[in-house]
Amino acid sequence: MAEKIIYELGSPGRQSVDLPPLDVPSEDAGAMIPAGTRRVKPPMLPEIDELELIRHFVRLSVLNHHVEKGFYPLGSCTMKANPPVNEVLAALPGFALAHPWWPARLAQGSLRLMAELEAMLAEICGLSATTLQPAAGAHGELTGLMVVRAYHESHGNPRKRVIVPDSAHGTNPASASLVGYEIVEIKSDGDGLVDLAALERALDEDTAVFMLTNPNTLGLFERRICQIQQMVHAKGALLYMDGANMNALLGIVRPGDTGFDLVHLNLHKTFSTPHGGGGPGAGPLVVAEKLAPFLPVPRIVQAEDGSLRWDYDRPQSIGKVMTWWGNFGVLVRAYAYIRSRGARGLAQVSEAAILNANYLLALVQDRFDLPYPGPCMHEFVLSGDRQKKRGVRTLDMAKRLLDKGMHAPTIYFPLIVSEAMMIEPTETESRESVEEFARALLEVADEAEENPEFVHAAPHSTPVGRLDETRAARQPDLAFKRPKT
Amino acid sequence: MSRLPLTTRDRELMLSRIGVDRFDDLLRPIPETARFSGLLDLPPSLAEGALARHVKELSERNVPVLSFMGAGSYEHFRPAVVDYVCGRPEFRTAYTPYQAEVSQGTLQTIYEFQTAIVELTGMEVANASMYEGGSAVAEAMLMAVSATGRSSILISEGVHPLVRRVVHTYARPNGIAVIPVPLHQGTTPDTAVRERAEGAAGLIYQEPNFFGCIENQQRLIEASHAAGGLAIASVDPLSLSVLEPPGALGADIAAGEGQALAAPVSFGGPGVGFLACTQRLIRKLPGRLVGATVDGQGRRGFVLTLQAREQHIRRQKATSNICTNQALVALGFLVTVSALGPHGLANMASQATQKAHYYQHALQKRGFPLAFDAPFLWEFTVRTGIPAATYVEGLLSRGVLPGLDLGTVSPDLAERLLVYVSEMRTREELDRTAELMGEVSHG
Repeated sequence: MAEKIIYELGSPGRQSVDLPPLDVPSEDAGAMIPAGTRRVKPPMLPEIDELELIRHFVRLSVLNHHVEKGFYPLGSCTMKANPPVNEVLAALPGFALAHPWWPARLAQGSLRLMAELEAMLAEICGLSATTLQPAAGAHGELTGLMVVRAYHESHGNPRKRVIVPDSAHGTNPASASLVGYEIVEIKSDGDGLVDLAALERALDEDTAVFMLTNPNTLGLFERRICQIQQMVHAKGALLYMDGANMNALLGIVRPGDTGFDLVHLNLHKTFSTPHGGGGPGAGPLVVAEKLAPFLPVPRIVQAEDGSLRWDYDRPQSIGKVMTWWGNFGVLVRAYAYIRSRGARGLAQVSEAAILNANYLLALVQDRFDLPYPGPCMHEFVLSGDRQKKRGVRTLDMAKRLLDKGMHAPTIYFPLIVSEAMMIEPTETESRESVEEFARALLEVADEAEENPEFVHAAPHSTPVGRLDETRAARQPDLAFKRPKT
Repeated sequence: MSRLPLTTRDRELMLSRIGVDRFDDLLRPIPETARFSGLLDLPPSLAEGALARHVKELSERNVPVLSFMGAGSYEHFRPAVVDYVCGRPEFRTAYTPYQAEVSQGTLQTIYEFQTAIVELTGMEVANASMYEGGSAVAEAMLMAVSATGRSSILISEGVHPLVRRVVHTYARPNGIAVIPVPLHQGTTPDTAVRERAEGAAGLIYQEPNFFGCIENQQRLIEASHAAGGLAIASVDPLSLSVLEPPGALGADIAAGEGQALAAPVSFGGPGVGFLACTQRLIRKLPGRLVGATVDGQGRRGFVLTLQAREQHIRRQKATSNICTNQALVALGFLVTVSALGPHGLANMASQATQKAHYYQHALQKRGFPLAFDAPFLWEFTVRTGIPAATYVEGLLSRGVLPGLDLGTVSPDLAERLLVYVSEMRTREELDRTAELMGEVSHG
C-alpha cells in the first residue's frame, strides 16, 4: 500500500506545533496589511498532528536506499561514509546562529574556519586560492568558467570555445554554454584517454579552456597530462579540472602540479559531507595565482591584528554567484573531515579507494566486457554488451541489483561505453562488503544467462516496480491537487 | 578520526587477488613527474574528541547577540521535528534519486515540496529546489531571456543588493543588459517600469522589498506585461501566508530563498532556493522535477521527469547546468510548513508583523521615524538622524545588534537602519532594545 501524500493525511483544524500567545498589544491586521495585498485564499498545506507527521516521513524514509543501509557504488558520486561527529559539529549553535551579515568581529570563528578550509583545499590541489561560494559541483564549474572568461577578457579577448572530451560529464558543456562559450567535443582514443592529435586539431587561439576530468570518467588517469598541459598552455588557453573524481588523488597527485589552472571540488563527494538526497553540497573552486583576482567577492583577508574581514575591493572579480558566502554548514563538515584525517590520513583514503576499486574489478571482470582495461583508479566502467546479446540490458541488471539490497552503479555513462556500468566502491567499504557486491553482480550475470526474462522484469522486491516514465513525461503531474468535493 | 576498514591482511589478500606485488603497482599509469612525492602541508590529524573540542572552540569565537538583523536571512521558530526528520540517515545519506524504485522516500518528499511551493506562490509548477535565493532569481532571469528572445532585464532597486549582484554576474557573460529601476519613497513605481520596459525580457521585483516595504505587485506585473515582458517575483515564502501570492496576481515566475522556513541562518547557508512558474514556461524551467506516475501493477510512484531539459541528456543545450540542489533543506522546508500548517504559518507571520509594528511604534516614540510610508510586515527601515553605525556600535557593547546599518550597503543610506523583528523576540526584549536605542541618542 503506497504511502499517502501528506496533503491527503490529517484533518482540518489539526496542527503539529503551536506558537506561544502574542505578548504585545494586537493591532488591527487590516491597518497593517492593506486589502488587495492581503491573501484571500489560504494555501492548501497539511493540517496534521505531530505523530502522524513523523510516521509519514518515517514510512517514506524507509523506502530509500542510502549509504547507511547498504552498498552504494554509484560511479562518479563517491558515496562514502559520512562521519557522525561532523553532523554534531555543523549544528553547533555558535555556527548555526551566526547571521551572514554580522559585523566581522562577531563572526571570527566562522571566518577562521573558512579561511583555514580555503588554505587546506589549495594545498590539497597544489594551487593558490580558493572560493567557497559555489553551492555544488556544477555551480563551481560555472564559477570557474566565468573566471576563465574574465581572465581572457583581461587579456583583451574572451575567446570563443571550450573543449571537452566525449567522456565528459554533461555539466561541463552545460556550464560552458551558460557562460556564452561554444563547445567542441573531441573523441577519446582507443585507450579511453585524450586523443592528443584530436586535441591538437581542436586547439587554437580561440580556445578559452580545455575541461578535463582526471581521473577521467572511465576511472583512468590521463597519463599524458604533462603533454596535454603544454599543448593547451602553448595556445594561451587554460586547463580546467573537473574534480568530481578527486577521491582518487588525495596526497597522490596535486592537480596544480600537473598543470591544471583551476579545479572545482565536490565536498559532498571527496570530503565526506552527506549527499542529502541531492544536496546541499558545496563546490569550491581552487585556482592558480594568476586567476585569483577574478574569484567571486568578497574574499576573506587578514588584518594586521590577525583578525579576519571581508574584502570587496577586487575590481577584476566576476562578482557573486550566491547571495551569501557558500553552504557554510557543509563547509564545517568538510573542514572537520580534513582536520580529522590529516595529510597521511587523506592519502590513505585515496589508496584504499583505489585498492577497493581494483579488487572489485578483479573479482568481476571475467564475466563482463571491459572496454578499457585496468588498473583503474577509484572506479571503473564495465560494459553490458555481452549480456545484451541475450536480451538483458544494463538497465535490467541495475534493477536486479536493487532486489539484492544493493544500489545500482551509475549506468549509461560515460556515453562512450555502450551499456555502461560505472562502479565506485569508495574507501569506506570493507573487503567483505566489496566481495558481497561482487557476488551479487556475478549472480546477476548468471541470471542473465539462465533466466534473462526474470532479470528483464526486475526489480521484484522493491517498494514499487519499474515506473512508467513515459506517462510521467506525457501527463505531467508535478504537484498534488486536492480533488474537488 | 573514524578508521578505514581495510587491515594489513585485507590489503595483502586484495593485492594478491588483483595480481600485483605492491600497492604502488596500481599507480603505474601515473607518470613519475605527475606524482606528489611529499606529504601535504596540513595540520596534524585530530582524534574525534580533540576534533570536537577544537571545532567547538572555533564556534565559540563567534559572539552571540540578540539580533534584529534580517536582510535576507531570517531567524524564526524552528519546530524540533524539522531536524528530527531531516536527521534520518535514510534522507541524509541517499543521493539524487536515479533509481526510482529504491528512492521513493526522497522522490515523494520532493513532490510534496513542489506542491508546497506551488500552493504558497500560487504558481502552476515548481521545481525540486535551487541552490539558494540569489542564483534562483538569476536563473529566472535566464528563463525570461530565453522565453522572450530579448536581451535586457529590468531589476527593481528594491531587490536585495547581493541578489542583484548575483543577477549581474549571471547576466554579464551572456551579454544581458541589467537595467535598474530606482525606488520612489521606498517602493518601485510602475511608471518607472513602463518608461524602461520597451524591449526588456521582464521585470524582477522583490516582495516585500529589501527595505521591508510592500510593493504594489499588481501594477508592477501589469507594467512589465504591457511591454511584452515577463514578471519575476522574488518572494519570502512566510510572507505568502498573509500576502497575495504572485501567481494569483499574474506573475510569470516566482523565485526566492526558503531558509526562513527550513534552516537556521548558519552564516548564510545551506538554505534552499525555489523556482516556480506558469505552465507555459515549463520547458524553460531549470533543475530537477519530480512527477507522479504508476508502476506495472498500477501502484502510484514518483520519478524524475521532463529530463530532456537537463544537462545529462541535453548537455550544452540544457536549460541550465544545475543538478545537485538542496534536497535535504527542501525537506526541512516541507516539514516546517507541514508542522505549522496554514494556520500556524499565518499565525507566525501575523505575530512577527504585530511585534514589528509594536517595536516600530516604540522606536518612533524615541525619535526614530520610519524612512518610508509604505506598509511593511516584520522588517522596516528607520531614520537614525546620525550614522546608524553609532547605534550598532552602541548597542553591540550591550550584546544587542539593532539591525543592519544600511551605510554598509550604500554610503548614501548611512543614516538608515534596517530592522527585523522575529516572532521569537519577546515584549521585554523589544522594550529593552527600544530603550537602549533611546539611550544612545541621548548619550
